[in-house]
Amino acid sequence: MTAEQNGAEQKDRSPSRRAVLRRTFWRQTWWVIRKELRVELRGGETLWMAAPFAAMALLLAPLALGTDTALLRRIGPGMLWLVVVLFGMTVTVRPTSIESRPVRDLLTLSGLDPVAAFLGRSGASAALLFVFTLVLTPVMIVLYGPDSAPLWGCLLWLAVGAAVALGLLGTLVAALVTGLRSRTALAPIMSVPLAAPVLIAVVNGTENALNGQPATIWLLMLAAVDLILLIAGVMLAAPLDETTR
Amino acid sequence: MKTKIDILQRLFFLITAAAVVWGLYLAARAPGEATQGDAAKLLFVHVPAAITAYLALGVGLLAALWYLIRRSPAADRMSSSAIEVGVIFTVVTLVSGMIWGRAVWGLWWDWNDARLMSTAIMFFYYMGYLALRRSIIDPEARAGRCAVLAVIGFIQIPIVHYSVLWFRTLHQGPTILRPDGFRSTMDEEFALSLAVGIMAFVAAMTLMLTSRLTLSRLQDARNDLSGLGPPVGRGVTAPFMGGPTMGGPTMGGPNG
Repeated sequence: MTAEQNGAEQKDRSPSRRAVLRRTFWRQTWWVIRKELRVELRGGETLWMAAPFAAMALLLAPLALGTDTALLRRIGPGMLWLVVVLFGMTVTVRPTSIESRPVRDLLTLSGLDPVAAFLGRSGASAALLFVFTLVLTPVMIVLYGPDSAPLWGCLLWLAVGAAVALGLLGTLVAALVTGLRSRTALAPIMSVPLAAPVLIAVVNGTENALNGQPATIWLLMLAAVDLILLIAGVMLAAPLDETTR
Repeated sequence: MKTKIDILQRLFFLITAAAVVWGLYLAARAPGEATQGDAAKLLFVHVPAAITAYLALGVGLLAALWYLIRRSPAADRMSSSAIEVGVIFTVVTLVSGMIWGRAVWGLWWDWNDARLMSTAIMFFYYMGYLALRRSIIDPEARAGRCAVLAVIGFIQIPIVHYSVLWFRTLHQGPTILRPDGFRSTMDEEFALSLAVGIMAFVAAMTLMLTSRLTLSRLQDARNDLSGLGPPVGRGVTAPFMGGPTMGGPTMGGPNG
């Protein structure tokens, strides 16, 4: 077979090969998401430990700030998101199913794409954070009683946007502190400052949505943060995987 | 015997000292500003410190990218040293800004001020960088992770700089690094004092950076040397049955 024929055959095959690779990539991502969620379902770290602790923070905050009803109504949404950002970080930096050295080595040898692993972990963390927010929202409404006619659809999108941003950010930072003894102290120091734009967008958006006003601008800001974190994560996944191996 | 580098360093130190003295002299001589009075003179420290912090953190980013591409230990040393120096200048920016704010706004800290808040957030982020650096012993792992963190963190610099344009709060807009170019709206006398201040701060930053780089190089050389021996010292190697030892005496056994 001549080189030309070889090249022509490769050209013919390349689109289907690309399709297979793409399918494999998304299959790997989905596999990591399922694995992470299964571990969470068995251990229940988010729903049975982090969420009650966060609810307790919402309960105790008025004791420190004062129990003035008007004040509590005003600060309720802000408190909810502050708690989600701070406690959510403990959710995203939890030890994961693919973190231990032998598992990582095995997955590397099996050809797991680092970007697929990153997206999988981020997706699972975002899903957990979304559920975490859904659990805490009724607690905030009951304890702080913000009187309003909210735009529920808008609130839902805000929760999704914030969960995606925090999931991506937490996964990036969790990869940086993998295997370190001081990971639980280090991860929030690095992630919370970067979560500030998310906090600003989601708190202002929630205030608007609770007052029945559209929060488009804040949703756009959240989407921009999501996009930036996604690009940073995808670009840095491979070098990060290499340095933390 | 002094080498050429020693002589150059001393010369650069003298130039930096001269620039600092000149900058202080011009700041002291400058007339009080029309609305802020003498408090405006603090801006001859505050603005150069902020610009120098941006510059140092920018050098840190470029060196981190260089590390991620080339895996060069020199790039890691440059990145970490530049970020350390950048953090120092960020502290100077924050403290001088707070003192100025107290004199002009009547407040040490304004929660609604976007520039103040974003600078403080950036400072804490880079504190996290320094904390991460201290937590990892393996040099390669430390360099790689910190390079990634430096790259992610740099996104904050444009946020800090443009926060005064995006959020119209108490802080005044940019006077020098304006989006429409480098045109300044300042009087000539103020502009000269500020220019000399910036020059002095950049020279001081360069001096600190080179000193920190020398120190990092020496630290790495020492770690490389100590890495040659057994990990727990030469006197505590394990008993060994036959064959060559790892270097140094053993605690008994046929060869020891």
